[in-house]
Amino acid sequence: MTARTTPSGPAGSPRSPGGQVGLHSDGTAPLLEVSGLVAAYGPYRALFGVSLRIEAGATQVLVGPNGAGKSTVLRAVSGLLDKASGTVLFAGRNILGWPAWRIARAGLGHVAEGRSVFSSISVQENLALAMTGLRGWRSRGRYVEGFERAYEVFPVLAERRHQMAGTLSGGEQRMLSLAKLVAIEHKLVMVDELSLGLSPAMVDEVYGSLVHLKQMGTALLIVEQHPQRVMEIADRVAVLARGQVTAEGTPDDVRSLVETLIPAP
Amino acid sequence: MTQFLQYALPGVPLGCVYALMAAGLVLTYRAAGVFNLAFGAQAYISAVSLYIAVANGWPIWVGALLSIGVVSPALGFVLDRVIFRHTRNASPFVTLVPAIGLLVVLPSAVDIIFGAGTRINPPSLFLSARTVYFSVAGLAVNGTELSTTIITVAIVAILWGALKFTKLGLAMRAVVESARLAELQGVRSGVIGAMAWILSSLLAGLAGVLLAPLYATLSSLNFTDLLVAAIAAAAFGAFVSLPFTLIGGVLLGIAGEMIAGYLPPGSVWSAGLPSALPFIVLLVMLVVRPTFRVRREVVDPMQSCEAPPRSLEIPRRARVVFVGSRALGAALAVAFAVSLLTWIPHNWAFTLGQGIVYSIIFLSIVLLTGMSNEISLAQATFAGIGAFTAGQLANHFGFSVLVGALAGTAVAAAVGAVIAIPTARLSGIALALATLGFALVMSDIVFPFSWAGNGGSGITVPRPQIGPISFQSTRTFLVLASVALLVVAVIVALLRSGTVGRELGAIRGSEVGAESIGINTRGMRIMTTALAGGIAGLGGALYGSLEQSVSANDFGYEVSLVFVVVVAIVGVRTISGAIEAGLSFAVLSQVISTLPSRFSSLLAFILGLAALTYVRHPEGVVDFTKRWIAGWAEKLTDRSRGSPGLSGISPGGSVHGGSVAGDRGDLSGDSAGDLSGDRFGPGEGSWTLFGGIAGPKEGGD
Repeated sequence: MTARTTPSGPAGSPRSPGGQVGLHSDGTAPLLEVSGLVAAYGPYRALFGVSLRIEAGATQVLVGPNGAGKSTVLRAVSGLLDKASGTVLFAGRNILGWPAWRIARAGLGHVAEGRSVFSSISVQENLALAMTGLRGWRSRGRYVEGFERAYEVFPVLAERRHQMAGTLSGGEQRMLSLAKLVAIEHKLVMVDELSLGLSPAMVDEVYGSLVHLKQMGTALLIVEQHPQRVMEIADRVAVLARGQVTAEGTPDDVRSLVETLIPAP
Repeated sequence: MTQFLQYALPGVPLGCVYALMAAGLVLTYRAAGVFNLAFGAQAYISAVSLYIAVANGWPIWVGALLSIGVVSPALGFVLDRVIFRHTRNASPFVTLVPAIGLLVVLPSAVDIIFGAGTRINPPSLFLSARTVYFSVAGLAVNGTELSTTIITVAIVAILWGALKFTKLGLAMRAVVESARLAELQGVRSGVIGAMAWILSSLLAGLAGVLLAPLYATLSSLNFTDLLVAAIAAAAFGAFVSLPFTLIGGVLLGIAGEMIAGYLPPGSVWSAGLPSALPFIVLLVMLVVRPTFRVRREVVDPMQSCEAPPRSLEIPRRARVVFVGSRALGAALAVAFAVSLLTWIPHNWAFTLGQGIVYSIIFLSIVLLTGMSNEISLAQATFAGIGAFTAGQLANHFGFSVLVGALAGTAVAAAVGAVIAIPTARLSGIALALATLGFALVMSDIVFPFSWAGNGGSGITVPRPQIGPISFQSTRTFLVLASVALLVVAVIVALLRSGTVGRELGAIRGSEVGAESIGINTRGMRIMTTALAGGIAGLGGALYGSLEQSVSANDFGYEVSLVFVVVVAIVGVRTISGAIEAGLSFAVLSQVISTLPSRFSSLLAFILGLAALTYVRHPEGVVDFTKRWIAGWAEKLTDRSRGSPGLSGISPGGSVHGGSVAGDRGDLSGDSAGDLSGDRFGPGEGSWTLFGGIAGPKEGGD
């Protein structure tokens, strides 16, 4: 179980951009740069100009109360919402308005809130599907390699590879959606409310796999309503309220604010 | 034994015919997520194009290649782009309406283009139909039977493998479950969906070309009848398993031939039973097989990306417009009523009488589909039960026809309750097909009996008489029918605004949620089905009395399909929708009956086309126009006051904003806000609330 390392603080990550606020000192463009993002569901507006920036390999946590628009930010970035405006630069290109499949193929993974696996197809088919859509994964060998990587991190899935994904427990389904991310190398992975409804042991397991992704050099954008746990692996934290980013900084910068906003359970 | 074989063996190729169509249905259902009732109509188009090619002197193989390889895939592609692209992961009713529309529109388009009543005698494609290749148990096996059997088995095997083992098959299954989630994996759901439709349409084309030679002359009805059997065959495989579908088809074919062989010829039973057999089998399958009893079908996990459903009423509109439109409406209604009773010609008064009676029947669809989210494709059947009960009681027992109508209402309600007891567990497509099966059994087996509808010759139903007041004339009958409509509309309105309406709203939102707050969902379903049956029965009895003579043909299953489509187009959620649907349907039929006979299919064509718009505007024509007018009125009044409207926010939405996440109204950082506001209204509101309650039951660890 390679992923079961203890989550390390910001100092443990060699690529952490540390305490830089806002601007990137090394002169390179950030991996993801969101500015002035506005989004709506039909007539209902949910985002009122959100700005975010994530460096390559960095871990950004997005916290905020219920209804702040956290999930909406992720959905708008990954192309699931029709009504979104602003700019979303990913690896230098404005991806806002791209269809979701194109964004996914560009190397941006998204694990949506709740059940985000296909319940009527098997575990292995779920993994295969995640790899089919992406370019450069056509050869059989790379499939096998992807399966191996996913099953190494989540051995329980290997036992259930021929089971329909809908028959897995909630935690196992969450593992499967993470396993899809482990099987392929993404540049950026966005995860939404991973810990929701999971037992403490299962929460450890899924966060372990996030650390694994982080060590692979993948940038992370983590949305959590209860951020105490996830702050431990964050490089930077943004606080979202009423559809706008109200604070941004290192975990230490915003810890007191977050604790007053969202008390520990 | 030889006799057994002689009856059973011809059933095998016939069964393969069923299975081929059924395989197409299963493919469309699994790969495109639509239960495509129009599959037979697509097959018909292919057969027609083959016939046209051959009639123009082209070699048969060119014609076949053209219809299977070009016409059919092109049709599938167009269907996907124009209609079904918009219905991915939509509810069964939303996909059923355009499918029924297509079922009607495709053959009627052929009728309009090539003249009504075109009879096509299609050529045989592969092996000659007249050549006998070999004999089994003294039975000759001809070319068509042989090629059908071989090709069907081959196609089922290929499809089964393709869906199970290829990347394309995997992607198709994924897109059917959730197009959005598939996109997040990098799957181009639009392309995959279009390919699913092209493939299934190609199969329809192949079926059309293969099966056409079975008939001496071909009409679209042949394929529709085949479809009926195909649905039953597909039910053997629970609409997903192709091998079981093949087995089911062959068994059905054999059973049908054996019943036809052993039953005494010439009786009502031998005429009706073989054609209704598939649906008896289907009904049994649906009720017995546990797969169909799963109320919660697989839902799209990414549904929350969509905008919340629109509420029905327009929450605010300019006072001037509101008062003005009410006054104008009242004045028009009075003027209309007066002229109706005085100077309007008799045949138009009759037409409006039909409209009023239709409105009563349509109210039963509003109650079922609009208020409780159930699909019934048998409302014309309930109307038939009412009409025949009223007629038979009046003719044979001397009852007043009004008493007969009330008895018809009661009988229809009772039948509805009995039917609902087994079907209350079903939902979505399974429920729709079960009711369709019931409609078919009634119209093919029960209605032909002389004690019921007396077959095609029908029975008479007198006009009513209350003491000295006679409703003999059409105009006086019109008054009586209007009173009946008013009573029914008030009953439905009271139900809607009362506890029952709210409980139905809760069930519509979430079955699990409704049960968890103590609503007897099964009881409610049985009650609404019975009530709707009763309303349709009353409407049917009045229809009979208005027409004075009715037959089984007036209440066939295709009539029910048309009814559902008409109401869905005009507005299935409102009482006014049912009334406007009834009146406009009657008027439109009357207008088209005055056109030359070439256009006799025009009504079907228009309805079908309108059904295709349904996917864009499921709220219906009535609500759409209201919204549209209100939007303009708002713009005009805003402009006159000099205040700019809320940019980018439609008039319907902003009022509800307070209870929706993200709006800057009441975000106190906790979800209590969701419970405030107008969420308890009779409209869509309770959805969110009950969805939330049911939520914790899933998930968890």
